[in-house]
Amino acid sequence: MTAKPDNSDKLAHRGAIVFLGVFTLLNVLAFFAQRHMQAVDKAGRALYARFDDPRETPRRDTSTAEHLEQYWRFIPDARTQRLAIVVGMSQMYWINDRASVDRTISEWIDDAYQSKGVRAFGLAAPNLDNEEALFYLLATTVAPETHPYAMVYGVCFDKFRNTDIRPTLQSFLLRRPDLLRDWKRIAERYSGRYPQAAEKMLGTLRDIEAARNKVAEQSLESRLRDRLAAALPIVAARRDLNGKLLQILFDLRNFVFNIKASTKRPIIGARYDLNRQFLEMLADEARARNVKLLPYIIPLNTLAETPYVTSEYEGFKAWYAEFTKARGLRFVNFENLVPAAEWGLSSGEPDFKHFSGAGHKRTAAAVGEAFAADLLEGMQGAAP
Amino acid sequence: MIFTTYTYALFLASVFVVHWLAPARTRSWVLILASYGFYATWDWRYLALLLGVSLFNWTYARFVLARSDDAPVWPGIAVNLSALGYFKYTNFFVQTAGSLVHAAGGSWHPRIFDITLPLGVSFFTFQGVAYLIDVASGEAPFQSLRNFMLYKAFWPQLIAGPIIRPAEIREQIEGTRSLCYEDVSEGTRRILRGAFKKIVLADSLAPQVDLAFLANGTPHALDTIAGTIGFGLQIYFDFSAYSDFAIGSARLFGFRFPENFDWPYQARSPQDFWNRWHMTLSRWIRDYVFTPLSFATRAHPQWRPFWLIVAMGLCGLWHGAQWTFVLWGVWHGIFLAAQQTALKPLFSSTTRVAVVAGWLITMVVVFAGWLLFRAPSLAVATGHLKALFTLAGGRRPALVRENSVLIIAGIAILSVGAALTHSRIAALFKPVLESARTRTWLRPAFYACMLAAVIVLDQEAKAFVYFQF
Repeated sequence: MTAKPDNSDKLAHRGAIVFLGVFTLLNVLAFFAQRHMQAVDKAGRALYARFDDPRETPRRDTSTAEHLEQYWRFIPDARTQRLAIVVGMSQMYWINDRASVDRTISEWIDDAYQSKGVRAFGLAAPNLDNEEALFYLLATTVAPETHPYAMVYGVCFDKFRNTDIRPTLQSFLLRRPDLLRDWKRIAERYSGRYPQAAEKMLGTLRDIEAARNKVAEQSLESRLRDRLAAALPIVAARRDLNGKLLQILFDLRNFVFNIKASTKRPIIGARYDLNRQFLEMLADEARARNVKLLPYIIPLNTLAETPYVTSEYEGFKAWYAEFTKARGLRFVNFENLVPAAEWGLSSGEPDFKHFSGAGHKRTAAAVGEAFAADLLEGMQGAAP
Repeated sequence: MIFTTYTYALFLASVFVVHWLAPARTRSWVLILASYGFYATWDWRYLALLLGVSLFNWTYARFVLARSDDAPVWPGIAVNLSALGYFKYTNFFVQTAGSLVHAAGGSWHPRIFDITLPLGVSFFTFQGVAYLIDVASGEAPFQSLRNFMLYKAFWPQLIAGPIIRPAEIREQIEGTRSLCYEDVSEGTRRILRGAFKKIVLADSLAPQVDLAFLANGTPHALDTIAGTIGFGLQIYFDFSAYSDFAIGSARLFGFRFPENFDWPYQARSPQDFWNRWHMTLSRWIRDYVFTPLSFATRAHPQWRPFWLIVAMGLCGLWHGAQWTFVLWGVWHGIFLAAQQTALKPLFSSTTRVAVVAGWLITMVVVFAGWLLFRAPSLAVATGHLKALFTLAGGRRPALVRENSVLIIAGIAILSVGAALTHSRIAALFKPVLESARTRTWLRPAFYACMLAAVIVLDQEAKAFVYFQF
């Protein structure tokens, strides 16, 4: 009669020991996995960044919107010289097969125009959508020292699939009450003309407000997480491990569905329309703020198969031509600008959107030439 | 305070220690204080509502009992429902009236009131109504206000059920509870299972489903199919996870709550589904809405199917002040009625073909219902149904990405597989599953892996779907 509880107690104690043992083992594994992932990541960054001269003042946001605040102070003072911000997606900063002499588009433009009294500063981020482009316009124009004379914008068709302001830019907005007010004012001003875009902007404000409240609510939660992360490696490594899991899922998806960089991806109607409205709003607001908007259709690798559905891309270009005409903007299409030799490889296939250093130099030269009249307008001795 | 946060873990652990260290006579007060504290973390302004509703129901039940001349119970029910009506349905009725006036050619644009829905009001209202009806029907009431306050406010069931009837818990509240290894072990295991279902399964599905039902999205047949299946799985894992947390948390304090789910996607008929899905709500609707209506017209049994539809329509309205929810309820009501009439031969047959056909029909009915349930408006639901029946779009989904399809398909296959085979597997491997080796080695190792998965996949605590109801 007494043997049974003793036995079950023994089983329970043994079970608890096994549970703790396995959990400890998983923590040890998580610790080493995280260390390995961080080492690989660090090596990758070092390999790419070895060409950046740490003594040189940054001429672009090299954090690609991750730490915009740190780079904001490097924007050349717009009160003493003309400033052109160069905005766009990853093509603006990624250099395939990078060499030490290579520069990005914005840096080449800055090199070419500095002596003529115009400074260029790069503000690019991966998968940048048109709401984020509008964000850069509003963020720079709220203060005279960053108020640009011109905004060069590389328009990319497939980014019309993306929506939302990324969290790092939301945090930037959150820290600037004047910018927040401006954001709201613009949303209200355009609610009649661009209702979906204006509603989206107000939605962004609501998200930011919710995030602000959450920060306050979650202070205890984050403190607890931090404390646990200090004690348990698996809690500390959870973001890295989660990212790795998503990467595995992504690779599995590509394998199962035979998805490649060139697999056709149809546009998403509602998002496409929203981005069109944002581009129109960007043009209207740039004019209202006395900023010259200098947009161009980005170069694509003509030898690589793009994921675009041809009819949709043609439709986009036709709309874009109408849009530039209606707003008195220059229609600049660099689609076929960069020759095949100046691109690189992506996942073993020709990269359709990112080029080598030569491609950056060529695009910057073409931008400089196409918009010279705008950039140098009214300057003494300027030769367009 | 969401169940899946570290804050809740700390709260639970603290209350556990204080509760079991406190003298037995003060333990209920510990739980009441903790419950009110838990509710205050959502919105302290509604503490008065919770307290007021508790005091009213306790007093009114005593009033009903004290009067021997059949004191009416309906005023008490009306008071409970009026709170629910005000907070949840004011804008719904105002907007519906505005639409009717507009349809009739008028131009009345009613003002939308700024009313915040207090968390859990739908649940504690139903609990209050059930208490008054049960007491009026002869059930023994709570004698002490303290015990009744605990019954009303006990936090594991306060926000989203299970909807517990007084008879199910009165003895547990009034009796002396003691700390035992089995309760603690089962309680923590249940909480861990809930965390796994919520964080690993439901929260992985949520963003994929949200994409399919994106506002202003262009409906596409494959998106609709993937999104609807995904939502059916998401809401099951989400809500059953909540119930696991509730049942597990209560168990740590010696309470045994009724189960709320029993493999609903294994159901072989609409009625079977409602016997397995949100069981405490189905029971409530059956006992307090359908049965009284049927009883009132017992001389006319042909009215039964109609009352089924009415009861389920009200069940839909309880879920949300929106016509999509009402339609969802009516949709289920129609098939419950059909099961008792036109489809009776199919659902009562036990042949293998009939059983498979019954399961398939039930799943189509249930998942089609989820489309109505998830769509933010009737227009969006109609758009999705149109896309579905016209097979709009190409061979690849437009909004739902292929990784989402993989996640949804993977979880769907595992869930359906588990639903259909779990009892057979349990029977087949019974000796292995119950062996000492499994209990001391495999099971703890499995739970350690589950905990690791929960930690790794936990990005940010997301509210449970049923919190909005």
